[in-house]
Amino acid sequence: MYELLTLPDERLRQKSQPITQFDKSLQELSTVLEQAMLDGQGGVGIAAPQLGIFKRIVIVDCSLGLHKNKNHGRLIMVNPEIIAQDGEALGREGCLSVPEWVGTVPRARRITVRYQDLQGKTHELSTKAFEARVIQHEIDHLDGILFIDKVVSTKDLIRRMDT
Amino acid sequence: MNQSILLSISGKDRAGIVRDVSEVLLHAQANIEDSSMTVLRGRFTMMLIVEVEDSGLSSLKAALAELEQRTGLTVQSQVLSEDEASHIPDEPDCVITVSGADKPGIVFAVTDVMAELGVSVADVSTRARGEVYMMALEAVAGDKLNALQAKLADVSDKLSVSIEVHQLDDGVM
Ligand SMILES: [Zn+2]
Repeated sequence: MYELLTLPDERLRQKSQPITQFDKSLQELSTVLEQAMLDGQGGVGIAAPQLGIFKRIVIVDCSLGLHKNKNHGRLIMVNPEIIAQDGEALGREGCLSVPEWVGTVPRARRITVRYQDLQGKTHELSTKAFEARVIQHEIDHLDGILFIDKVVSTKDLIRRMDT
Repeated sequence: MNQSILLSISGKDRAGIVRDVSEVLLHAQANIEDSSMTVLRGRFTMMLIVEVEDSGLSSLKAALAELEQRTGLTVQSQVLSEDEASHIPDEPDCVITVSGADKPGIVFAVTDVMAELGVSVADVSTRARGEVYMMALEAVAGDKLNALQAKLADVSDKLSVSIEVHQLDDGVM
């Protein structure tokens, strides 16, 4: 069993390493992550470092979201990388690792993400809106970045309008 | 038992105001819970909810009076009821941004349609600089979002300011 890391655990700030072995232990890791995501109340995504495993794998499943949204179902992404993005959208984010906090975060509205599946095969996926937001949030975890680093206030919004 | 007290404090902006206030609170054993502090032009303003034990309330009040005397800050305090102190407001589900030429009545026009629909405001900032007026507002619209959008479009036409309503999607990630 793995323990879910929560703030102020410094390990959440650690950068995760690329995955090079596409073997049975990777599949096991994916199962563990899936379970942890489903155990988290209202969870629509999880990244391995949230369980203290510093490897570049995330799982996203926006069909579990509270609001109806367009999505690609369960996505298991190894070594994910955003290769294109545009537009900006505001959303409210919460995080299994930052319990009881939510904040308004600007994210790219549309992204294209390149990733590998559990067999190591490369895929590219273009998506937008909520699913794009969740993927960006999870990839941030792999780099030790939390949504609280990106929260904007009404004051910030005014500053941004001004430029 | 703890008491929750709302403090509203303001004064001419200078370095060290937050230090001076928090020092007094620390010595009076009052914990800063939620707070909002900002500088508006030349005035530093803060609102804080502090918690203090019943037995410490009178010494806190004395310390705040001394702070006012010594620093020239204006300090107002109100003891909150238990209901008020424990109330967690609804999370906003939309952000409204307004910008355009400064003219009287922008804030009123926007918040008037919100009030009519029963949409509550969670947070607002406005800024007037020269000819330009900007406002950002977080609101709890719920199922009134579409109606709100339609009414704000009218306001936008009438005042010729641009108004954007951003619906916030949310999730635990
Ligand atoms: Zn997260």
